[in-house]
Amino acid sequence: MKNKFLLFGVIALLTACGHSPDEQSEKREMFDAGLQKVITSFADPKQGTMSILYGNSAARQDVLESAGNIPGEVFTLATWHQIANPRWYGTYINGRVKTVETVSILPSLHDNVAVVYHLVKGSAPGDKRGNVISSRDRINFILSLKPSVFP
Amino acid sequence: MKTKNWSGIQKIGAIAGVALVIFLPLQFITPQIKNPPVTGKPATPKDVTRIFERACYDCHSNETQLKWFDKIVPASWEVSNDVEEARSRFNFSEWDKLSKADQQVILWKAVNAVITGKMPLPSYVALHPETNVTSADIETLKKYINSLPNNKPDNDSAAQVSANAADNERQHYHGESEATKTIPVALNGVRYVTGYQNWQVISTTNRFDNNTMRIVYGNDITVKAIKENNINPFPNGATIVKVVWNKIEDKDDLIRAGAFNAVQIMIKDEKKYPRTGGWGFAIFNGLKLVPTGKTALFENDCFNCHKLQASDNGYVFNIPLKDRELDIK
Repeated sequence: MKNKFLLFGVIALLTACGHSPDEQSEKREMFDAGLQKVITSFADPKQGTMSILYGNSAARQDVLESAGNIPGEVFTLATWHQIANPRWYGTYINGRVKTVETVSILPSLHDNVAVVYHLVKGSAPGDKRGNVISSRDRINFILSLKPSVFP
Repeated sequence: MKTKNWSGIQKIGAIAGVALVIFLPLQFITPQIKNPPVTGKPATPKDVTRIFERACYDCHSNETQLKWFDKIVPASWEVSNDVEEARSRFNFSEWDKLSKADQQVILWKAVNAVITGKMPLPSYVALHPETNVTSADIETLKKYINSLPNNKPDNDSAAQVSANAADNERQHYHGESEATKTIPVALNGVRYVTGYQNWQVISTTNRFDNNTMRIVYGNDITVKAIKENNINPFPNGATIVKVVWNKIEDKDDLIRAGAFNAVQIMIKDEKKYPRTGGWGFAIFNGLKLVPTGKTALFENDCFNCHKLQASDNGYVFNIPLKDRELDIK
């Protein structure tokens, strides 16, 4: 009888331990950009990634009106690994988040602005040869993206 | 009164007799499946045609070849319904009646149904093993649809035209919506949704079957349902908005969202849309947001595909994958 209780105890323990990974495996993650809204999206087939550029209202006003960088703009570029959609051959869907980068426009001396790049998540993006892309080039790339139309 | 004791053999004989009395007359009212003339077949390569003929033609063509047991009531009723429905979805023998664009869409749908094991119907394959599709067949089909014209990257001049179209749209777009003037409404009653840009992005997709990029938004009810895995069925009020742009492949090998294509909407309301899995479907095309469909029946096309391919996902294709699905390449 004692052995039976021991066995039940072990089974209960195993079940408890097994519960958490199961829960994790069933989770569906969504990237939360906070109050920022989508500016545009693109994919890089060679890197196997998909990206969305988000921006706060100042950033979106800048790209929509070509107003020029003003202090307060914040851009966020989220990049995911792309995955073949198991429910439709012919579609890639975003998988795990690979990197999150931000570009912020801050006030600077003499009415100038400072542009600050920050890699929030993941490893620094590389070019086709695998060399790390400089912050300056990433800023230029992110700020060069044109907005999509959302009617 | 004398009760008769039936032996085992007598009982079986009696049951068989009753069955014969019921089913024999029914055989005279078994539905007849006719094969109307073939007006035009798809011009697919021989190896692809052979797969379609073997796996699809019994239902999706006017060259239906039934086995003797398919003609016996009650099986014949089921077979007849299946053939009628299959031909109404698409008919390989009347391929010439479809536009080139529709032909391509149907080929992708057909191949997807085969790849994901939804077609031919597993119950049909069980009794007709010759219709089974092998992994080699699937590779042949993938190779074929990947070679279709829509899937080839734009050449430089076409890419330039797409880029110019996108630039032109941007010049006239300042963040306002056409729908702020009048809210467009689809023929099934689904209204265009404004303000979706403030919702959570639930996924983004890049389609090489029709050269589009998409961003999919969910309202609070949708996001909560996804987080809690409460998606079979999705709760009433769940609303999903998918924004679609044409692709531009640029010189840096990036695929960008180009000119605006459409907004696709799914609204969950079990009472309003009982025939389509509780979802109201709508597509609003171009910057004028013109609703798809000549009659309200357009939603059947939407639902048939969502039902076939995404019934395990609350009839939604593009919700974020589960963590365990993310390592599958």
